[in-house]
Amino acid sequence: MRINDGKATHFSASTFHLDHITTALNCLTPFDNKQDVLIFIDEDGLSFARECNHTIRIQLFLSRDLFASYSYHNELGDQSTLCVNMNYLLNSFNVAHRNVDDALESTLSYNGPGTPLQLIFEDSLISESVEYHTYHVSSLDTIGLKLDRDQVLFECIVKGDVLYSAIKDLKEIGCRGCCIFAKIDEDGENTFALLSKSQLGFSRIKLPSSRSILEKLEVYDGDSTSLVYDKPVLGFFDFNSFDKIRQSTKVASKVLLRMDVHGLLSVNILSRTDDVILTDTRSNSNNNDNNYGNHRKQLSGEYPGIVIEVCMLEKENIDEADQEEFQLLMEINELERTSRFSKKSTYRRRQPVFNHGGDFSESSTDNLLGLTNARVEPISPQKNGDVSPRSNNNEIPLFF
Amino acid sequence: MSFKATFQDSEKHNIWFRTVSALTTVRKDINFTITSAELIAWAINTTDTTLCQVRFARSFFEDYEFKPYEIVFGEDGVQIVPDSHGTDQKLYSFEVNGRHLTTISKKPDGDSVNEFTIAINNTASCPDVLANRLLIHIEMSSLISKDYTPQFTPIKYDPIVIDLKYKRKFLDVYGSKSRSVQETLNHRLSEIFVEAERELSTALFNENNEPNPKDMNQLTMADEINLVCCNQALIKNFLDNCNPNITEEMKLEISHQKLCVTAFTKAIYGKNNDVLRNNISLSNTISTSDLECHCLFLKEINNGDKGDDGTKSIVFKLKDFKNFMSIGSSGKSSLSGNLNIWFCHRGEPLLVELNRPDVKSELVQITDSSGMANAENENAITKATATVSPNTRASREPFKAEPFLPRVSPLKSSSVPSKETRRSPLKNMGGSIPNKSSITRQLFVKEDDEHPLSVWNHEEEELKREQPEPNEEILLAAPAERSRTTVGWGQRPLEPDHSLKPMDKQSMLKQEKRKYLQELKDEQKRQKREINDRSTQESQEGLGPTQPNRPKGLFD
Repeated sequence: MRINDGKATHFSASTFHLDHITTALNCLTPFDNKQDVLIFIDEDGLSFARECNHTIRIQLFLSRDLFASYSYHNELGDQSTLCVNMNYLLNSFNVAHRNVDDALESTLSYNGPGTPLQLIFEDSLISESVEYHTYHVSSLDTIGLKLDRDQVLFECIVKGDVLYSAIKDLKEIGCRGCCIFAKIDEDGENTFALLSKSQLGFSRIKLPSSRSILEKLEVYDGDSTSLVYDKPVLGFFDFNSFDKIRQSTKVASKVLLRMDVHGLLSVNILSRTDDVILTDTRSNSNNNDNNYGNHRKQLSGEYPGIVIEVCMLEKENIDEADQEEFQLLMEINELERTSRFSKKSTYRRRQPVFNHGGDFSESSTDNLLGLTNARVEPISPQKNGDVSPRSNNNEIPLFF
Repeated sequence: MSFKATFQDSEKHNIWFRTVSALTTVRKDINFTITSAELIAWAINTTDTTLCQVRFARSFFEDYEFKPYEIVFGEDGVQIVPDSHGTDQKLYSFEVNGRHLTTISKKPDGDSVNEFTIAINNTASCPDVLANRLLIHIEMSSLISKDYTPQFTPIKYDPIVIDLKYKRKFLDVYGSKSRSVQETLNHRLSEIFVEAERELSTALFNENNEPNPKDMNQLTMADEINLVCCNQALIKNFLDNCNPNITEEMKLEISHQKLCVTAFTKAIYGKNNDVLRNNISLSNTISTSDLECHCLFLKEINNGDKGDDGTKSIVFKLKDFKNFMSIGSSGKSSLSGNLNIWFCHRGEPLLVELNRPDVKSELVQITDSSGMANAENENAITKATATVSPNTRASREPFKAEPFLPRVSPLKSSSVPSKETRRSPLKNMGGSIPNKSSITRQLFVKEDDEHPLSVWNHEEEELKREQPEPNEEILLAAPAERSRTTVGWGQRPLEPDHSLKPMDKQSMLKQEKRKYLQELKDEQKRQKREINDRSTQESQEGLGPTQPNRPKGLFD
């Protein structure tokens, strides 16, 4: 017996852009395929949501502009929710996607609770129809995995492919736990790096700080407004969780990362083929409950691309030693840099005159070894008593 | 920084990556040695059968600094070695996990390396966290900068200087020739001579560097050393078609006319001659005129019948060789550069060198020694009746070392008229040459033949018995065999010297000795024929008396 009688809810959408949908849905793959995905349907588009262990959540939004025809009619409310097994859905799309010879039209349709979700793939010769059983979910538990917009610690916009290659590198070295490091300086030199401790020891991948890649980096004082300089923000994550966004960053053109004081990292991914429109997410706070992301409000009448939001929680037990060590190692970098700078230029104990300005002019070649651009350093014997000079803000004795 | 080296070219990064990954296939922990002139990356496999070494000269790096006196941590790796001029050179050596280094050095897709820096701190101001860690810093073209800190263990450098040994040997043997025919020598060959001299004079760890040039008449088998120099493309093209899982071994055969490169694997037979694995071989033949140069150590025998004497062959495992060759080139870069292959006898290590302007790579590998005894004896035996272990006959057997040049060698034209063949001191018996008929085996003598034991006292009886039963001559053989502590068997030719009379112990003994040696020779010939038929490299001499039929060996 059907709950909804006589077409109270009717949804149907069809598109020719099968590869687009498939790419989008494949971003859900790392999130535990065997479980069910939640689908929200409303007038503006389709949304797929998935949660893992209550620690990480992904939501993917496909705007109605993607679909050549989109009809949604619901007498019972604004939005429909249904659950379907994610594996089945992904498999259907992937299998259909393989046959790219002919233009394939895919249609999704759903007629309310109690009816199956129907996928129809049609090309010029074959028409294929798949139905999956669905079930209704009455309440959605998103408490805990929502960004606290009033207490954001840092915000960063970075190019998607750069982040993708950084995460891929971490994966290749067998990273187990990674740490996001964000710091801004008064002179505009921003540092955004992924640190990790693995079998190889300490590794660091520092994303380029040029504006074209690291478009924005702001570190706040915990109130989302006042900027804090020279105080790094570290966020520790289990790499297995962090790695789940790798697939999404692969398709991303821009990635927006935000972390709040409660340790929740929110990753917003926008994937477009056209120009990307930057959003000022702080001011745009009228989000609807479904966390579509703010981008769609900016783009009227245009297809916004795939919008993905991932929220993940920081590691609960942060090893104090690890934390200190990471900070130390980032600071060593500062130390090396300044000490080499002074060694190279003066061969004497560094004067206090070397201030931030002087130091940070070198930071474009910021690295663990304090290297600068290709200059052969003349080998000269060091006096035994010549202690390496230290920069003003790093006075930590590092050993002995 | 006590050590820092930087290179900036992506092609150099490619070479670095291929070096590290090739060394990792030899041994999973690879070693580095830093000197003020070069960075040596080397690995010896756990069974000590392969050594692979790549030297990056200082000029390979855009920035190179080495301050060994600053090293405080990990000073176990510091070594002081006096060089040939007497000044002390400081070295620092360490061992790193090769797999980690390979992962770090791998070129990511879609990105290329702008700058790659390796450094070691270990100075007095080194933080604890960075002690004994190799600091690697990479700047990518996408402006991402990466830092890695894999851990290393300081070790001591104790090199295997086979390359120096071989080059010294090479200069000793062929050097005099080169000086005498300087103007007509192949330019590649003279380059090699010059390079070898230079290396020997500047190398560290070169203790026995006494030049000992040998005259032609003084050369012995122990002095054998051969060189083949060819463009690496020839070998590389061949190796690209070889799969080390299928063809496990590689053989190089070089003669006057051609170089034959073969990749093969032997068949494996199970019980009842079931074929467990088929043999397979793949070979390329290259004319020697396509080689840059080659020097072969040949024995010249006066009857002019060199036979297969002119062919040198050497067998070794393909896998390490293929991995080594992968260092030299990538798909895109041109396959230039010459490969120098030095080898002595079978069973002695093979040295392969591939030298580029700043990168010298070398591989030392042991070779298969099977069949070596045969080869020697074959080459030695012509029509002589006797063979003696060559080492004892050094003074009587002059050898000729002939560097073969693309044109007619001046050495050849002035070939020495007659060389003494190997002759046994027993030869002056003056006996006629026995027939080389095949030898049958007979396990047990028949009952009525049992009194060979008393042959010494019953020579005449025995001889009479011998005549009516020419095919069962174990009788006669028995006493001789006993004298060499093995019981042989096989068919003996009719003893032609039965006519010799009177028989007495002395002449009998001499006869038997001659027969024994003849038998040995025939054995070798027969086995050689089998080898030619089956193209296997292993043969077994003298199977025991309980095996009347020659069984199929594992590698037959």
